[in-house]
Amino acid sequence: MEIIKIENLTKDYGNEKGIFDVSFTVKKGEVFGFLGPNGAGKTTTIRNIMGFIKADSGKCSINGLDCFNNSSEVQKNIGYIPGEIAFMTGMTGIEFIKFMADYRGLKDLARAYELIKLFNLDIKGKIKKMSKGMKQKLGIVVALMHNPQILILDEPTSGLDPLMQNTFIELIKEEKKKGKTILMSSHMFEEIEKTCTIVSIIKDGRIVAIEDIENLKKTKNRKYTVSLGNLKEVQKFIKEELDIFKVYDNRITVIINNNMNKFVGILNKYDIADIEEEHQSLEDIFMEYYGGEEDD
Amino acid sequence: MINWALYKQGIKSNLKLCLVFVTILTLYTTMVISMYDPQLAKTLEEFFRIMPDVMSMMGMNGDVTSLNSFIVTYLYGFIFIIFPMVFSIILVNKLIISHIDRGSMSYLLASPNSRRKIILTQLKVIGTYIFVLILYSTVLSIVTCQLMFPNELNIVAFLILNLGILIFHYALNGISFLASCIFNDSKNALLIGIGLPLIFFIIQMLVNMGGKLEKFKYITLFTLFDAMGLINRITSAYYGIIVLLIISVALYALGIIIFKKRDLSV
Repeated sequence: MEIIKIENLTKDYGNEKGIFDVSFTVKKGEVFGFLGPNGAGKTTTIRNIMGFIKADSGKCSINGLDCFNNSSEVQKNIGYIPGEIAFMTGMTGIEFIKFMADYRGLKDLARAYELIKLFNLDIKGKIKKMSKGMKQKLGIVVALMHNPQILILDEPTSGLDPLMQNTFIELIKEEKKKGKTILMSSHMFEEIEKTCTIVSIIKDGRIVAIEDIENLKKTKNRKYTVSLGNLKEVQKFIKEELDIFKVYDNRITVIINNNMNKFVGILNKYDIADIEEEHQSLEDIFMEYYGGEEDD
Repeated sequence: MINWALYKQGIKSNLKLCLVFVTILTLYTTMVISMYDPQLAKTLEEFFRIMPDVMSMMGMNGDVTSLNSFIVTYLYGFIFIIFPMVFSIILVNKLIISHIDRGSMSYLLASPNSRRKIILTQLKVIGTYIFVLILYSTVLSIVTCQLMFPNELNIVAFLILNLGILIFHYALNGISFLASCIFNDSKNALLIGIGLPLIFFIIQMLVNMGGKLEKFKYITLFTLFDAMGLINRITSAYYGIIVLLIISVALYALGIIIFKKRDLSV
């Protein structure tokens, strides 16, 4: 069953800014990752879904209802985290939570308190004085407290520390189990990888790829940088049957595909000072997946 | 029609501001009324004879020998115009413009409440406060007059005058409201929302001086609010208020329609 349906959506802001001919659907129970660099059009697309802006052409609907014209009906089932969170002024955390519940007509705050506890949110402080991470947590609580069936999350983990990012990822997994339909934007592949079932990549306002996450994962290479004890070992190491990406001083970066065991075996023979996994940028993954096709 | 949670929040968050304006109006009103003295009125008339330009610029021309016309001249020409006007502009800024500008409007939109409901609620908060401020100044003036100069004030005429100024302020506020609904940029919204009422006010001051500038009176809303005419129960002054009422309803309605259809990139 299609929950979110976007067909040929175009919103042209001039100067090549905006979104152009964007189409995708999110089915019930799917976690749809919306990946793209800053300024690619993620937020513009999300604003259309939220009914904040009206597209120049194309359609955008949730459960068959137009996102702009029927926004108040559509919004009943949505939980939303804005890309740039701005709260009402002069309130404390709990005042804002209570206001939003009241404003939405929500009586039961049990879920809100559960989330407050989960994220260790300090609700007594003034929002104005909260750190970026604390504000983000407040945004998460407010987005999920009414137990919405659809979640629209615009860069939901920005500002969260790694521990809280993990808590959030666990939360999304839990929501996924409950059958929620989730659309989540990010510019970090790792975050999408851990939660999403389908990934869409947007660049310069155009969708360049929509893929099953499993397919993307298969092609994703892992790069490890090994720091060796001395340069003599480096000379020996680069002769090993490994795909060496680059060598810098005593640091060697290797690409590992499906030969993890072999890699570990080789490592055992050396005096390793340090080993770390290289984070792959969105572009890297994208380039790897599409290889030479891009030049067509 | 409106969302009560949002209404309560709007009222609560502007209470302090309202108190500031209540204090200012209390000080001015009691001060001005206490200055009334039929004898002094004659002196002021003398002033007017000597330097008519300065006095009329402040809207202080005309018969000041009765308490009613004294109040009209010294309160309804400047103080009861400018302070409620500034108050209502600040309210429009706080309740609409800054929500769009800062982005907190996204929280209001991302809810089962329609845009119509949201903007009507904010408008009701603004409308309530304008009403409260005018009501307060009316009651305060009547009480002060009765205490200091018992039975000198024609209360019925005075109430009509205040109904008039209330509608006049709604019409002025309609301009700021409409501007806040049209513009994306808070700068433009404020420029028009503050600028236009202020220009009208300045033109009015110049028109009061008479002469060649008098023809400008046809472009400001102030001409429709004839305080002296209202207190003397002149029919044309009533017509002015009816026109102001129509203008205010039209401006508010247009603002709501535009707000419903516009893009809100929040």
